[in-house]
This record gives sequence, C-alpha cells and structure tokens, in this order.
Amino acid sequence: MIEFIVSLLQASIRAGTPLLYATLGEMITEKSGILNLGVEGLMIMGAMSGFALSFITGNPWIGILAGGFAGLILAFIHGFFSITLKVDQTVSGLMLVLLGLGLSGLIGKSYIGMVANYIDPIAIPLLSSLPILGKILFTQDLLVYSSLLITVFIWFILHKTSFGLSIIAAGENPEAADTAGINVDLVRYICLLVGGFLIGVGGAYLSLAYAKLWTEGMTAGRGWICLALVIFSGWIPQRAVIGAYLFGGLDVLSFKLQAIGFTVPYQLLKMIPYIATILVLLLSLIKDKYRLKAPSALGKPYFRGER
Amino acid sequence: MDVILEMRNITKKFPGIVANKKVNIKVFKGEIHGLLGENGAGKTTLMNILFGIYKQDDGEIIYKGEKVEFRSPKDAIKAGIGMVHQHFNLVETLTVWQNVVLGRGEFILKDEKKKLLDVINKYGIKINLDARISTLSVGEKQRVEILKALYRDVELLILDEPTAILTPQETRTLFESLRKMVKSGLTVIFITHKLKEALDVTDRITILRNGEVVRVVETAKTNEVELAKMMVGKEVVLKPIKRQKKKGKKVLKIENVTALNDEGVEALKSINLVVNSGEILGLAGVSGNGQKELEEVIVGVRRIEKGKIYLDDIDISRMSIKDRIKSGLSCIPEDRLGSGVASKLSVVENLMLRDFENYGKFNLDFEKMRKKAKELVEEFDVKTPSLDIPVSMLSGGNLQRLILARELSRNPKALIASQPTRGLDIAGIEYVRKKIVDTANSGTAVILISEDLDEIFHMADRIAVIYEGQIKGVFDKDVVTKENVGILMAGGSL
Repeated sequence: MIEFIVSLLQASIRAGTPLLYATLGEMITEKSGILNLGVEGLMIMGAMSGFALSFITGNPWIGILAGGFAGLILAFIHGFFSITLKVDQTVSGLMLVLLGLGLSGLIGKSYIGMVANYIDPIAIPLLSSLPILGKILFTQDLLVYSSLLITVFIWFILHKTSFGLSIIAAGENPEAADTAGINVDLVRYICLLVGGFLIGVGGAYLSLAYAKLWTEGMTAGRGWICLALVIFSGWIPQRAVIGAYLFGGLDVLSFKLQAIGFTVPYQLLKMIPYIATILVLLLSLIKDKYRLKAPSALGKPYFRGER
Repeated sequence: MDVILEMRNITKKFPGIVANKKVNIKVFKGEIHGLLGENGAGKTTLMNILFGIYKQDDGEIIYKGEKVEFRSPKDAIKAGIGMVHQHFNLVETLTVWQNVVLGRGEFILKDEKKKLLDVINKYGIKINLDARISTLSVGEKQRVEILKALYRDVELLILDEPTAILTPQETRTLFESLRKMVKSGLTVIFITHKLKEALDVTDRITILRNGEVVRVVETAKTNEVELAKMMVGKEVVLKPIKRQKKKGKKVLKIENVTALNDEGVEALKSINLVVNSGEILGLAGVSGNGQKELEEVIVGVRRIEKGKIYLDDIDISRMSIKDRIKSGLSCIPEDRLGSGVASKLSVVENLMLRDFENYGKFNLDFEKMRKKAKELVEEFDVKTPSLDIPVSMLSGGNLQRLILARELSRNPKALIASQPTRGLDIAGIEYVRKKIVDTANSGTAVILISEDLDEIFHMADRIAVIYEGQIKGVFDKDVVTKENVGILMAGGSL
C-alpha cells in the first residue's frame, strides 16, 4: 500500500509539472491584466516543437527551449492583437487554441511514432535515499526542480521588486500605473511573452519528459485545466504548486486505479479538476477570507487618456 | 517674494466655448494660492494646461524663471509640479507605501518605507503606510495621492477641489497639513468654489469668472460677501427659505430598523424615525455613520435585517424597489453618477427610467417620451446640448437637475435627498434647495441627509443626529443649537 502511494505521489509531481509551468505562465500573464485563453494552443505547440527539435538535434534541452519559444511566438501574436491593436482578448486567445491545435497537427505529422532524446530523472545523491520522501521528491528530473525555483522567483518578483508592483498595477489599475510613469503596454508584453515561454516549456515537458512521445492533440485539455488552476490558486504562485500536483495526481490516479482493476470511468476523474475549481469559486463567494482576487483590469484593453 | 509660477495671457478654446481668455496668474513661492470660481469658470482647464494635460492656444508659462512647455504630466512632474485630481489613481489591492513608490524605487525594494516615514513626519500626514488602499476612507486616499506627489519631490502642488469629497473633519486635517507644507517651502495652488474654504486656507486668491480673471486679492483683506460678488458677478446672499408649516400626518415611519454594511458589520442599530407630510427632517452626521445604509434600506437596495418601514401605513420593508417607487417613494442618491443615473444612457432614457411602462408594453412610444423629457428639461432648466447625449457628459449641477426632474415630477409621497448639494456651485445649490423645499411645501415628507450643518439648519424643520448607526436625538430646529448638534455628531452627549 505504501509503495502504491509513494509511486502515486512521485508520478503526481511529474504529471503536475507541465501543469505548473503553464499555470505559472498564465498567472503572470493575468497578473499584468492580459487574459490569454490560448494556453491549450501554446502548450500543444510547445509539445510538438520541443519533440521535433529534440529529434532533429538530439538534445532534449534544445527541445525544451524550442518549446518555450514556440509558446513565446504565439503569445506575441496574442500581444499584437490584445495589447497593440487592443481587440477583444477572448477572441484572440481562442484563435490561438485553434491555430496551435491545427498547426501542431500539420507540422507534427511526420514525428508521430518517432523516438527522440528525452529528459530523464536524476536521483540526487543522499537525499534520494531518504525513506519515502527521497523517492517522491528527489528522484525527479531537473525541470521539476527548476519549476519550484521559478515559483519562488515569481513570488519574489511580484512582492519584493518594483517591477512586481508595476505588474500588479498594470493588472489592477493601468491608469494609475500610467500616471506613475509605468509603460503599461511594455509591462504587459513582458509578462505575456515570459508567460508564453513558460506555457511552451510546460508543453515541451509533456512530450519530452512526461509522455516521452508525440501524438496529435496530446495536451488533451491540460491547457484548460491550467486556466482553471490559475483561478483555483487565487493568482498566488505557491498555491499553484499544490493545485498542479493535485490535478496532476488525479490524472495519474485514473491510470493507477485502472491498473489495479478499479473501474471508475476515467471521464469522471477527468472532470474533477473542473468541479474542484467550481467548488473553490463557490467557497470564495461564501467566505470573505477565501475571496479570490482576480486582477481588476484582467482582460480589459488599456486605452490611454480614457476616463 | 519670489515668483515661482507665472502664466501669461493663457487662452484655451474648446469647440463652442472659450475656457480661458487671456488669463494671467502669478503664484509666489511658499504661499497657498486659491483659484476661486464657479463650476465652468475655467479653473481646472487652466491647471490642466500647466500640468501638461492640455496645450494652450496662446500665452506662455514661466516656471522658476524659465519659459516652459510641458507636453505631458510626466514633464510637469519632472519639473517638480504635482497635481491631485478629484478622481484618484490608486491601485486598490496594494498598500499605501506600495502605491507611493509605484514606478519608482530600486529594482529590489528595501528601505522605501523609511524614506516615506521621513516625508510623513515632515508634513504631519496621518496615514498608515501598511494599510491596503481598499480599506481607506476617501480622505485617506486623498492623503495617499498627496503623499505620492510629495514623494516625487514636488515644489508646486495643485489640488483640484480637494474638499468636494471630504467630511468636515477630513477637511480640517487637510488644511492643517497644507499649512505645514507651505511652512517647509512648498507652494500650493488650491482650486475651489467654496468661499469659506478659500478664506480659511489661502494666502491670496485669484478669482475666475467665465474663463477670465476677475481680480487677485489678498485673503486677509477680503470677505465672503465680496468674494461671492466677484465670483458670480452679482450680489448673492443665500435667500431665506419660505416654509409653509402645517402639521401633517405621518407619512414615512421607520421602526427599529437594523441593517448591515458591505463588510457585514451592523451599520444601523434599531433606527426609529417618523417624517410627516410637508415636513423636512434633516439627518445630521459625519459621513460613514450609517447615512448611506439608511438611504439604501429605505430605497430597497440594501437588505433590512430587523424592523419595518411604513409608507402611508403600508409596510414597504419587504417590497421590491419597483413597488416602493410605485407607492410614491423618490430618492436623490448620494452617488449621482453611480446610482442616480445610468451614465451611458441618454438624457431621455434617464428621465424616463422610472416610467417606461407608461409608454407602451412592447413598443415604446418614443415620440411621447421625448416630448415629456423635453418638458422636464425645460421645466428644471437642465442645460444639455441634446436630449440624446449620454448623461455622463453633463456637468455635476445639470446632472443633479436631471435627477430632480425625474424624481420630483412624480409628486412623491416621500423623498430621500442624500447630500443633494455636495459639489455644486452657488447657483446650483440654491436651485436644488428651492426645489426640495417646494416639494415639501406641496406635502411631501422629506428626509434630508447632509453633512453640511448650515444646510440642515437652513432647510430642515426637525433635526435628527446619527452617530455610529444610532439616532442620538431628534429636535425641533428652533430648540437646538448648531453647537449641540455638533457635539452629538461627534459622539458626545448633551
């Protein structure tokens, strides 16, 4: 039984890591006031580009970078529409989903069934030999560890630096940010592009470290889960870690339960993240203490000089 | 004395009007300079030109001995000029100090609070640096805006109608800090249309009327009557109000009403009030003591926890808002643009907001509505270029006239008027007061909620004092003094 739980938790972290990257990416995007609904599209492009570049170059880390840049490029398209042209962010974001799914299917066709170089877990000396915890926490791959460092880094930027204040101001009250001499559009572009990069990395992790293969549409709705996760974690980076591992765990659980002959329809388990998000939203309505603080200007284009 | 700022022959035209006509103004270093004029006299336009928001059509600005031209507020701030607008620019979820250092400071924030404490102590500004903006009162938010300017090392601070949104106490605190600021070398330009405040706090006053400078006076050598005369161009004394006193029957009865505020704290504690027909009951109190909640409970936008409200002996406390309106309840809300009108709808639509049903069920008779709206606009003298512009484009005074037109033309049985003259100029104040008194004279029961004690004593027949959600006493106007009401408002007892 303990073994089952240990391997479940270990796998949950691995399953949660792509979600964590994408959730953090979407979170800093939203913190600056930009809603990028295209997470699913960015992730799948990241997964495809990552796999392809690892296959071509033989270096999975180049694949991870390529995945990040694929996400960044799609994010830039979103920025051009939503920040520069100030059109509706919902439409532009949804367009990215369709674009990403279509384009990755087209370009990725020739890589289906191929084998590339992958990112393998490494056991950290000493720590990994700890009982129970060692296996769960310290036999993961480098990207798992770096995702936690990035979480801390994002928290630090948001709360301990002047740039963090600028991000929050751009997302809460862009006019106030503007009058304080902050270039709102620039701040939003930076957050959107960095966020897009992280979402792309999340996608690449999926094909290069988690599933270790490329198939069309392999993100299978994880992008939407990440959008829910941003809300679930209340726009707080450290909570995203818990949320991502939790939702990743549900994913793993559906496999594991089937393997031991437990027949819960997997569709039910797949629904749980969304139901959990709705429950968290309800909870936040009931209790003021749990109120979720979406950035006030989220999704609203900023026009200078408009009162 | 050194001249810090001189604006020469400033002219600024907008389509249809000349906002500033060859305006000259000279401001000395270290003074509080009043810019006095009615709404629309061109005060704010002039300062917006100085601050780089507008560009003048003609004329020049000399600042600290040099000719300057600010293309944006950023240029003005860089030169050491700060402006606090009526509309605040604060990030609600951040704290006070975070708002102040926003866009400034080292990349990694460290000693920002210490620097701020120095500024606070120097000017005696009362504010908690760690408080979240969303928890602050309007007065405190204004202090944050002033702090923002001071933190940016301004030498010249422009305040646009800073007291319009403040309680009397907050106003006093503001004036004290302003005096401290000028003592330590700052120069302040104070835009206002309130004579008393101009006399209270300024050193010199430039009076503007219709975009032109009428005169510059030293505050010590002038008085209210003279200033009023210059400001409006004729002698004004607030006319005594003619009241027809007749003892009417009870119209509005509020019984043991208890209600919560937005934070879920009890804001009204067993309120009992009776208003008779033809009577004005003045509700005196410092804002935030339950007035807003009382207004909302009567109108029906806030849930009543306990107690009952009767209108003509009918219990309306569980009625829908619509039914309350139908039963003869009218309201002039405190928040004109927010809850008084639908700001993006047109003049006609707003005037007809309560009476759509009278103009057809499915196909509204727009011609008839326009005709009625036109009559109302004329009767209440609402100055608007067209019946079809969104009401957000009307000035404060005209917006209030529009609300009066809608609410009073329905001959209500009871009227709740909340801060009805706040922010209006003299002509507007007189008009609104007269209309409310006329309404009472015609038999309506009126509750007048106001922070302005002069206004309450001017208009009300009886005065109730509210403090921390409780009625501290109800008096006939003739048997109580302003001082005693003031003591009750501050929480004291007689």
